[in-house]
Amino acid sequence: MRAKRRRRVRLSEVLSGLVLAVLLALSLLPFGMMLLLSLKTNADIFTRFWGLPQPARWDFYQQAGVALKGYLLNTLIVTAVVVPGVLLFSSLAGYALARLSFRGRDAVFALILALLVVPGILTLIPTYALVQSMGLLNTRWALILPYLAGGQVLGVVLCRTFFASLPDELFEAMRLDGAGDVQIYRHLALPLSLPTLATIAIMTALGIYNDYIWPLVTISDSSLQTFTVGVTRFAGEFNLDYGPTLAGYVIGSLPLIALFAVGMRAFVQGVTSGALKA
Amino acid sequence: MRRRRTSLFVIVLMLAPTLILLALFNYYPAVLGLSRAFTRWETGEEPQWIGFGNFVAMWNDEFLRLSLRNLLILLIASVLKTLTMPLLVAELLMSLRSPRWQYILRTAFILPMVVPGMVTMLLWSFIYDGSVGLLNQVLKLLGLGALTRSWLGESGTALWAIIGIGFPWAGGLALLIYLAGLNQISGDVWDSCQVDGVSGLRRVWYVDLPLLLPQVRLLVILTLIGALQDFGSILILTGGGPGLATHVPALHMYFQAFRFGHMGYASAIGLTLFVVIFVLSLLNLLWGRRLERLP
Repeated sequence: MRAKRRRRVRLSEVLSGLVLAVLLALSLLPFGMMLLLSLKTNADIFTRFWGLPQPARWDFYQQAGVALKGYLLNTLIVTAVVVPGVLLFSSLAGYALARLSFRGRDAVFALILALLVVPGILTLIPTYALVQSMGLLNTRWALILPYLAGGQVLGVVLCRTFFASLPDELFEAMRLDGAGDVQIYRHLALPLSLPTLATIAIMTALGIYNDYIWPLVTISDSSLQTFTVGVTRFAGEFNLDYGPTLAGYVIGSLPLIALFAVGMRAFVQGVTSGALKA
Repeated sequence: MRRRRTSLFVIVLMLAPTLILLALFNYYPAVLGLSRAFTRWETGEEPQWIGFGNFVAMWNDEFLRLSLRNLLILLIASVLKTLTMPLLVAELLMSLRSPRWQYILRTAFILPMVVPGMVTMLLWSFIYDGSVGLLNQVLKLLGLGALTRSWLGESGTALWAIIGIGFPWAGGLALLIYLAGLNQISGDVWDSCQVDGVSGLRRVWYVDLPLLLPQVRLLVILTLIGALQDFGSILILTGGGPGLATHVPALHMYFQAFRFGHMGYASAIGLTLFVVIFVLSLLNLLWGRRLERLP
């Protein structure tokens, strides 16, 4: 009886595994084909679609890399300015809102929380008009400043929640030792919040990397353009050769895959807590 | 214990960067978005107050009316996608007893999330390509060569092709949220299910699903909000065409603003979409309240 029962459970597990394997294969198939076809010439693709590349054209990666380098660098520059800024400002504000007492504190936090329900579709056009009137169109600032502001919303919410969850004793102990708020923020709150900051950093970087519409409308100079817009245009350089184009897609995927490999935990936490921001 | 007061100066200094940035780039545009919807505002000109003029124009806008049908289909499809495959995968993953395999497979399933959204879109436009697209190649392999076509290029299939993106729609945020939910309930609840002989689909239907309602609620609203606003992918894949086969209101807003310069009219479309999102969020909140009051 017992043995029979166990065998039945095992069978269902094998079945689950099988279904999962099929679904996984289907999910990953497009990406597998991206890798395979990225090494093939058009002639090779048209005649032997499923066959291994003959010969493997690794030079496509070099061609695609050269064509995309500028775009990737632009995204990197914007990210390198925005992410530290978001971390610094939102941790400072989060600290003040969680650990300092002053009049209107809850009102300020409620005001920031309210921004969670303001969707991008409402603010796209007015933000464009604002950036235009500031004379920032077609400059890096058109990207940096709105990203820096937009990243604060989730950043402040996560930082405040985290700082508020820390035990009071830690703060009292440092206060008794004569530490001021700036020192407490610098030497106690900030080091403890590193996992939260990592989550915010990943979410912010992900948002910048994936944003398409905003750079599309604000940046017209292709020497300032970001990867996500650039990659939609670079295919034209290869006379509709699929190989180098797909090689470019692979190259463009590497930064996020690297980010994922380094901080998977923060990534998973980030996308699930990021779900808060509707 | 007496708490030392922090000087107001320090507090202001800590909050100032955030509040200044938010005031300028978040609050001000939000207010502007509300008010400019009621103006006649062409690119480069001063806005003029026209009351509900833009909304009347929206009512009579043939393009907008046609795009609503597409939006409705996309909304229903995206909710169905979120509620089925990721839940199935989450349940199957939980049924594996090896934590190692659970972890490996979960990681593999969320891998497509890490590929930049634009790369995924461009890849799918390649999959649907009329000449060497992956879909056509698979069909030929299965002996269904007669079905091959330019999937995004024909008005009969374009909208369905857009819905098909990401097939089999198994991973992503929904999977992570379902897994988090199932992890919270599993343990004791599932043990007692086993004792009572409730297993398999019966357990999923009578035990897991009711307990997962908060996650379902979250995912439904997130999916709706996302689908209402998304037009980047359609812009890239079809530009709303062929004809108006994949046109949606958010894309209409984009074209009105950035192709034709009708900023006021576009703002009115944006405001309307915001109101729809806001109402849906409120309904979702009320649904949550009702769930809490249930025994």
